[in-house]
Amino acid sequence: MKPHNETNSSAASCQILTEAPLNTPLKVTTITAGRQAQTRLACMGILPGEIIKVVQRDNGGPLLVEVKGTRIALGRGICHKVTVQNGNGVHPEQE
Amino acid sequence: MPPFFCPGKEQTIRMADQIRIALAGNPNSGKTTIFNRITGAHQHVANYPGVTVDLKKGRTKIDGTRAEIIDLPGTYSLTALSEEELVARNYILNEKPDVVIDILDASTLERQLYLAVQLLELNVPLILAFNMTDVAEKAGFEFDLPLLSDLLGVPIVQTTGLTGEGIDDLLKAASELADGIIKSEPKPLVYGKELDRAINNIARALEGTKTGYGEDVPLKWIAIKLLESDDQVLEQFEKTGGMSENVATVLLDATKRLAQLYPDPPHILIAEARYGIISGAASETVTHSVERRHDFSDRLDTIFINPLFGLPIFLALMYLVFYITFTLGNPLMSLMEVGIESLGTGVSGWFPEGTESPIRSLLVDGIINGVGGVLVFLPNILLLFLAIAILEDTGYMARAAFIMDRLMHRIGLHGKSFIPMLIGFGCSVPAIMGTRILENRRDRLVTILVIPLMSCGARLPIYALIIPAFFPPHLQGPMLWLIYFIGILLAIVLTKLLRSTVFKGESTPFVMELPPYRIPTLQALMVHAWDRGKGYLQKAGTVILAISILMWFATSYPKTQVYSEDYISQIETLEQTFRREIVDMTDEFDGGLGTTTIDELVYLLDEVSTSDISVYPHSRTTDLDDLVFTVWNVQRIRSEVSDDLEAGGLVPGSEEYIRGEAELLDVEPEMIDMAVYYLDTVHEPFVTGTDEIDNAMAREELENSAMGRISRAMIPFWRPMGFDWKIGTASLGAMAAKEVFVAQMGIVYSIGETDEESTTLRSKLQDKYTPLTGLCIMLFMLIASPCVATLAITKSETGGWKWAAFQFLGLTAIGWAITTLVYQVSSLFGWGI
Repeated sequence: MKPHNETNSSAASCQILTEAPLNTPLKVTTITAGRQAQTRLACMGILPGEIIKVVQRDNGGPLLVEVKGTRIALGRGICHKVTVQNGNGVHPEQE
Repeated sequence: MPPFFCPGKEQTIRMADQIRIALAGNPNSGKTTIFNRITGAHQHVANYPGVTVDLKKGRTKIDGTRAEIIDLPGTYSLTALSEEELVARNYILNEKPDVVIDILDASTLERQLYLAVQLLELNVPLILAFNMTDVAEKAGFEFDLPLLSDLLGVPIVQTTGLTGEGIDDLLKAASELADGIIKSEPKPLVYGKELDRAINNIARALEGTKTGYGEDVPLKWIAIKLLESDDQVLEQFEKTGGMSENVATVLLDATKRLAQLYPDPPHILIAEARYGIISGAASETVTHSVERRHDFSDRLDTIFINPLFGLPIFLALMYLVFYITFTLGNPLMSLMEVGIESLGTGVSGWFPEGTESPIRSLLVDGIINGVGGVLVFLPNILLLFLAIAILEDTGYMARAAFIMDRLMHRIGLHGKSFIPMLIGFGCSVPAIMGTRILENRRDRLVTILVIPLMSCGARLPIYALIIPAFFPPHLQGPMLWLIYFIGILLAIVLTKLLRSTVFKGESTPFVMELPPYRIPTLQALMVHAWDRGKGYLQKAGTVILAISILMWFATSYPKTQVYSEDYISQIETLEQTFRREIVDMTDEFDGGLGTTTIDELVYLLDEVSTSDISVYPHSRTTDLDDLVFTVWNVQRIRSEVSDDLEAGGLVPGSEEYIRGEAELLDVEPEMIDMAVYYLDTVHEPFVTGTDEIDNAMAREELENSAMGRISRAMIPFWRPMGFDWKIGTASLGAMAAKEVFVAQMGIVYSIGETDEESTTLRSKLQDKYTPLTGLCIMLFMLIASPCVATLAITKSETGGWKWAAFQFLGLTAIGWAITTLVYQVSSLFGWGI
């Protein structure tokens, strides 16, 4: 849980999940979907504040995301509604 | 090390007669494997998320106490958003099992504990089973289970489902928990200051009000669910006269306050808090020494879901599945056919020959042929299920859904919908059963409704009859392809249509775990395939049996009392002519007929010229014996030579014919002439004549039967599509099972027993109808009314006749409209006439 004042501190570096770099730890910032979709993602471990990693992404198809040691396929549609920023302050170059 | 860890042992004795243990857990946590280990029951094990939908029960004994084990659906959570979760949650809430065991895959512990926290919220007598700890430890995890058990306040047992290790300890713990020897007292969960305050306020307001839940359901749980806007909890309030004003106000205040403080909605805040609790506990009790390695499973995925190779590999595997199903299945299918046929013959043999027994007809024509017609597909279906079981249990099926999602997404369905649709090309019944893998009801209903458009195996005989009858060889392949294609295209259009009308709304996002690849055990595969095959058999034994009987009645009754022509006397006339000619023929025989009566002679000659008598001994002392002997030999030579020629019969006077006759050197040439004369001029017209009359009677009987009458009453329905009542009758028959169409066409065209290879029926169709009608028949058979087995399974899988009726009426209306359109427009322009 994070209060309001902490959220948009690094809004500039926010990206849509479909455009985020591959194989890089990413911190989920927002999920702007309906309650049902948000809940569904939450029980798979994908929710604001969580660190995830995009393992595979090809044009048009679903994304393959690694979270909490599991691999989850996410449809394009829902991925457009997820924004992320570089997680753990780790730069992709350092990975 | 003690076998299990629990917050403290205490001796109190409460021996129950029977304890009930519910197994909860994520899909692929090894829950079903443990269930099978405990109960030994033949159950479904699948390495594919959410395959177990039904509640499965089994029995065992723990130290002499009977225990009932309930296998809850595999779920990630206990929301009201999917059927599985509702089934699991409602079982726990309503049936109150003595013990709930949550089975966790230790290697993905944090995600797995999310369900455990929700079980803790429900305050059920919980035991955690840490499954596959060996795998997790190999992956570098170390667990401090006694500490974790203390932190959460619940007993924890280590198990290895595959070897069965730890299962006895698990059962012992369950029985001790039920007896009160050990305790499961979840520590209060801390969600954070603001959420705790909100939950407590709402729970206090709920005290003494009607919630729609039993008194033992924790008020805090209801409070959490109200904050999450849980549909089912809200519904329960509605049902019990609405929420009290006080509760509503407190709830509104709480959500308002949370909204002021945090950007995320309450259900996300609660989820975050749950993961907070989990990581708090895990940080103290779990260490992982190495980062998640790119293990074998990940490496396989770089091949199987490769953007480039994934699709070709998938298509190749699907081709292999169908290839195996049909190449291996067809010989077995022929075997089944032979078996069913001989069963029919055997049963017929119980009845005195020549009598028309309605019971014989019901047993053989109705039940054995009806149910048998469906049973012959059993080998193919079992093989298909076995192939699917392999794909599922290895974990490949989730990858297939991943690959197909891109295409399926465009038509508004899930990647997962693809799997049942594919099965639909074999048979709609298992395909509709297979839609259980879809968690969203809307997705499931749309898929179920369009599955009959996937042209199933039973429709192939219809196409195989019609296409060669009306289309030149070079068009036959493309025609068949076109029909399948029309079905797929229509399914796509219909899905889009349903998605934007009846099933409007946000399509559920595609979220699916790709479980690690596993090597399935042979036993699991067999159990898995058989489990589904059994469902198919049950259908054959119940619905299809009932329908077969009904269809038999509809085609056999009411009996025709008065025929349009006097068929009986026609047959009598034929018989008289036949006898007279035989008498004339044998008039000048040396020694006359001797002791043989004319009846015996007629019988003998008829027998040797029609039946396959392998041994015809008899001394040849008289001309009469010679004749019978010669007729038999000519018949034998003809069939042997014609078998050799494969040309179908011999031209009298041809070289082979004479050579054949030469074998009968020891009879006089006149005798050969007489035998040939008898066979071709006396016997042949008699047989064809009586067959024609029999067939005409059968046709008239069908015409007068309930089915024929209904079809004729429906002429206004058939006519716009260019159908007459005969095609109508066959179309009605096809509702029992699609392939019945061919047999029924045979009857209305007086061909007798018919299969799709029948050239006689084809030439009759050619005479009577145009290629356009042929196309229209195929279109109508493809689209309109799914067979009753499909409707029955739709009913049972959707939970009521409503959707089955919708499917029936919708598809029939569309089938009628499209066929009518095609017929009318083409007629107008003179195409295909």
